[in-house]
Formats: sequence, structure tokens, C-alpha cells
Amino acid sequence: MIKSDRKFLLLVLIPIFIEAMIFLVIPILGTIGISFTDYNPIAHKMDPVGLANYKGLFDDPKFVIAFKNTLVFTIVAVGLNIIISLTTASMICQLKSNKTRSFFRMIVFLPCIAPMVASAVVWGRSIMNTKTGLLNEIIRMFGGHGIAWTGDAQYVMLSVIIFTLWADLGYNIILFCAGIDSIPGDVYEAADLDGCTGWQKFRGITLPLLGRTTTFVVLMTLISYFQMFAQFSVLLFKDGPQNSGLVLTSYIYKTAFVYKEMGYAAAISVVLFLLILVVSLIQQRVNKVDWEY
Amino acid sequence: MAEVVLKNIKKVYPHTAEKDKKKKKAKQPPEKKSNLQITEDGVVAVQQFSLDINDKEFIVLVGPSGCGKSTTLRMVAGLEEITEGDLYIDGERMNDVAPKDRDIAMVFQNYALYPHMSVYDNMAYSLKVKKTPKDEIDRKVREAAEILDITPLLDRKPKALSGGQKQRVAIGRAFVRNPKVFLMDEPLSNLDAKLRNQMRTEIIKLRSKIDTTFIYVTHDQTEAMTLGDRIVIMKDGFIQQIGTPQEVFMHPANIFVAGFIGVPQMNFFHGCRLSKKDGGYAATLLGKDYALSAAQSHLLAEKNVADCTVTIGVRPVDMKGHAAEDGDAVIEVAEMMGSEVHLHMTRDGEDIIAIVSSREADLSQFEAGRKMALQFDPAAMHIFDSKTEENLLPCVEE
Ligand SMILES: Nc1ncnc2c1ncn2[C@@H]1O[C@H](COP(=O)(O)OP(=O)(O)O)[C@@H](O)[C@H]1O
Ligand SMILES: [Mg+2]
Repeated sequence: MIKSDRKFLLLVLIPIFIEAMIFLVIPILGTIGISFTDYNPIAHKMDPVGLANYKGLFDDPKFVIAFKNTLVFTIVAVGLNIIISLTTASMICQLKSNKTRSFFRMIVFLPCIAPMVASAVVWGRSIMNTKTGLLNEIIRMFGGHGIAWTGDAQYVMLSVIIFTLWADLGYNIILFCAGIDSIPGDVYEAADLDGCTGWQKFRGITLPLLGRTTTFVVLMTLISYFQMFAQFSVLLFKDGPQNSGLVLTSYIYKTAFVYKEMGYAAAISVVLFLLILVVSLIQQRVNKVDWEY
Repeated sequence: MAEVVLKNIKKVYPHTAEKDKKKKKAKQPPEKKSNLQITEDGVVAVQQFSLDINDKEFIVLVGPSGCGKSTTLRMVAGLEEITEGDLYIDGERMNDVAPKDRDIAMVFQNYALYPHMSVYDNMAYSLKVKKTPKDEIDRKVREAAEILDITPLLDRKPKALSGGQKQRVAIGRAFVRNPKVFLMDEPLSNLDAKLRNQMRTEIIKLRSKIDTTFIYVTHDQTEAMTLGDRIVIMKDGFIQQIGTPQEVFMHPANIFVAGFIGVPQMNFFHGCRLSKKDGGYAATLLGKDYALSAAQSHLLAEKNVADCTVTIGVRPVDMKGHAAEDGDAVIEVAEMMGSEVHLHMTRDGEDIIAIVSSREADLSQFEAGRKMALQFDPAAMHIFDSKTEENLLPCVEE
């Protein structure tokens, strides 16, 4: 690389680096720092407490519930998301006409345009409402009993997952479509002649050749689902009955801004951060792709 | 092991949409490359294609780019729907049979290897799909690898192979299946000249090892001539001629075939007179009258050919000449090719090529700018109707 090129690169990169320092690295370090104190902005105190915040975590039943709920939500929702979006994408990509393909892609992407908070309000009021909600109307039409979607501890998680999938599938479908479209058509033709059925082509060609896309999609979805917040706070009333809908993000928010226990909240944040880090690393290791076109 | 019969096959690529149609129409004049027929329904890529392929025959489809060779091949494979006509393999109608059930293997121009599989798995895949026992797969793959000389590459991924190696793997993948019909779509066109010659020889060798029916597509007449038992020459979606390499070389059906087969190209002299004389026929070429042989005249008489204007074709090897002050053509370049000299001449703006044996001729006489008097052997003349461009002497006994 010639010198002037390197100068230009530095010129472009330095502001980004500074921005990352101010808004990412320093806050993260700050959070880690605060997690070792009992910082409370109302009581005006901030004394070092060592590992006390972390030691207390697993004796805190609410934290344990939140931790468990977060894991369950993320694993189930990400799993379903990937299965459904991959299936949908591969069906959309089999359509011959470009127009119909674009049409379906647009349809599935529509929910992603709406802000999640807004669609959560709509779902809470008019779709998952126990008395007048659309879902229960349909169930009753078929002679069933209405379900307290967001009011019954049994169904809370299911409701949130259904809503999340509806709101969020579009992104991944679009990404998978792009991935499938980038697989050369003659590879499929070769597979056709080699005697593959549709399912064998999906298993033997599409899935492995989508490896890179899948790694990316799974990683991004995992990271974002660990941090889901809007639908839990809007769709559910006070984290659902018996904290059945309490997740780490809501618990962090409450601890920090309702109870004002900044130190403890910071400690939970650090745990969530580590959780995401570890899961992402494992995920990347598992989905290693070792081929090129 | 299969007879393939194509009966009056036609392929129309429908106009994709109303808008595309308009766009294409607007664009067409500047980029008009081929003269494919365009109808209400779409572009007619192939029509009136009828061909009976015998068991174990090696058929080559040849023609300029865009003439419908690949389309025909893909219809046989089942990758492209047949618009009209019937395709039979071993007597069974195949039009609506899925590609996977046709027992056909194909080598693609761009190899189309599975990028995520090793060479071994690429070749083994079709057998795995058919649930062949593992040891049998292993035996077949290794045998094919041995024949194609790719055993050391078995563990590599396609990315780590050169073009020639990829092509071998692609052929190997088709080979292990022992298919009824073996299709190849310009398999050598991505290779450099030396590799191409080498692979051509290997394909001939390969053929002796698998007793099966081959359909081979190429735009290269040399490949067609060296590989084919029979050659199908196509242009603009129509078959021009079907015949053995010798037949199409000696008796081209029309001017197109005559010009397409043989390098250097046949020389054409347009606007010559063909006239009846003393019970026989005579052709006037460059101001001289040549009496045609009895056999030639007989053929023309049988066809009831009257006096007319014709195009006469003469292959470069059949051209004779000597330097002369009042010669017919001017030498531009004399290319020394080793055992022969390619003499490029020009006459009235038309190029004429003659091949002269370098042993017999006095090379010093071929200086640029010298004039050559040309002589012709009537027996070597190909006579084409000026209007229809058909050969008037399709099958002369020499
Ligand atoms: N999928 C397609 N849609 C529309 N036209 C096509 C399609 N494939 C090929 N064609 C047209 O059909 C003609 C024949 O194509 P092809 O069989 O590929 O020619 P070749 O293999 O002889 O070069 C070409 O003019 C091409 O433009
Ligand atoms: Mg082609």
C-alpha cells in the first residue's frame, strides 16, 4: 500500500475509532467498574464492595428467573426463527417469476418496517387481548376457550415468542433469500441430474452452501434476542404473572432505574454481556465454513 | 447404453413479461447477433430438430454461439422443458420425466462442481444419493480417479484445482454413474489450447472405456470433426446437416456448412455461371470454363438444373496456381506452417486462401504483391445455388 493511501485510511478510521472509544469502550469499562461498587445516585453513595454484587446474584430468585427466561426465550425463539425463515426463504426462491418473488419478500418484510414498540401495542390491545383479541375470537369461532395470552404464566413466553417471530422474521428471510440466490444455478442442475430429490438438494446443497449466511444470521439473531426488551415491557403487564416474563434486560432496567441500585444492575449487565460473548464464540466455532467458490 | 430419438423438437423461450418484450424490441436492432425466429410466444431457440441417435454413438452438435446447441442438450437432460415434439430414450417417451429419473449425466461448461465437497465426495455424491453400498462407491470412485489421473486430488476441494483438473473431476463425476446417456456442453472451451488438445485425446480414450451414448456440444469444428461419429451442424435454431465428419466435409449441404467445417475456410466464388453444354454441364470460374465430370453432370441433369448463377466453393487444399503477370489474385501473406504454406491472396476485395505443400513449391515465388494465376479441378468444386445456398451436388461419386 502506498503512503498516501495509508494516510487517507487513518484519516477515515480515526474518527470512527474515537467514536467507538467514547460510546462503546469507555461505557463498557465504566459498567464493569460500577459493578464492583454499590453506586446509588439517590443515596449519593459509591463505595467499592468487591465481588459482593456478583456473589449475591445466584441467591437472588428474581435474577435466577430472569436468567432462565432469557435463555429459554433466546434458544426457542432463535431456533424457530431460523427454521421458519430458512424454510420460507427456500420456498420463495423456488418461485420462477421475479415479480411474485419480490412480492412475497416484500410481504414478509413488512412487519420489520414497523417499530416493535408500536406493533407490540397493537398486538397487546387487539390481537392477544383476552376478551376482544383476534386470536381468541378465532379460537372461540372453532368452539374453544379464550386464552389469557399475556395474563397466564403458562402462555406468557409463548405469546412473546409468537409476537417476536411475526415482527422479526422478515430480516432473516431476506438474508436467506440473498444467500440462496447467490448459489450458482448449475450446481442445482448437476444435483438434479445426479438424482437428488428436492429434500436431498436442500440437505446436500442449499444448507451447506448457505453456511456463511447461516453463521451470520444465527449470530446476529442470537445477539439481538438476548437483548430483546421492547416486547417484554410493552406486551406484558409488570413482567407477567409470577415474573413469568421477566428477562435480564427488563431486570437490569428495573434494578437500575426503579430501585436505583446501579452497582447491582451493572453486575447483571456484565453477566449478560459475558453470556452473549460465550454463546457467540461457541456458535462461531460450531458453524465453521471451510470451502470457497 | 441407449438410443435417443428426437422427433421434431421445438423450444420457445417465452417473453418473460410485457415490459421485457418492449425493452427487448427497443434494444434489438443494435445488438442483433443471431437470426433466431421471434414469434408471439417468444424466442424460438430450436425448431424442427429431428435426430435418431444410435446406441453407443458419439454425436456432436456444432454451430456458432447462440444457435441452440445448449438448449437442445438441456432438453435431452430435462433441465429445459420441450415446447413441442417428442424425446424418446430407449423407446420410452421422456418429455415429462424428471431429470433425476432419466439416468443421464452431464458435464457442464463451467464444471458445476459442488464447492463444499472434496473431489472424492463430488464423484461419490450421485452414488450416495442412490444408496449404493460404501465399498462399491469407493471402488467406482477410485477406478474413475485412476482413469482420469486425479487420484492425488481426491481430498482437495474444487477451489484448489486448476481448470483442467476441475474438468477431469466433472467428467469423473459423470463417469462413475455409468449413465445411459453422457452429455457434454462445451467441456473444453474454458481450457487453454494445449490442455484442450490433451483433453480431447482423453475424451476419445474415455469413450472406449464407457460404452455409452454421447451427445457433445461444441462451437469448435475441429473438436466436432475429431470426436464425432456423426456431426449435427446447427444455425439459428435449425439443423443444417447431419452426417459423418467425412460426409459433411466432402459434401456440405449448403454454403453455411461448407464455410463452417474445415480450416482454413473454403473459398467461395460468387456469381459464377453454370451452363449446359454438349449434353454436360460447364462452370465458368474467373473467366475460364471448366467442364464438369460426367458424374457431376448426371447429378445436375437429374435435378433438372437449368442455366443459372451459382456460388462455387473450393477448399484451400484443392487450389492450384502459379505466379503469372496477368494472374487472378494478389498475394498478401504467405504463412509458413511447416509442412505447408498458407497463401493468403485477395481478389476484388475477397480473400482467397490456398494451401501449398512446402516441399513441392518454390517458396520464393510467394512474395507479397505478386500475382497468381489460379487453376481449378472441376472434381473438387462444390457448386451451390446462389439463391437457396443449397449444394447442387450433394453426393458426387469421385
Ligand atoms: N433462459 C433463456 N431465456 C430466453 N432465451 C434464452 C434462454 N436461454 C437461451 N436463450 C436464447 O436461445 C438461443 C440459443 O441459446 P443456446 O442454446 O444457449 O445457444 P448455444 O449453446 O448454441 O450457444 C440464444 O439466442 C439465447 O439467447
Ligand atoms: Mg451453449
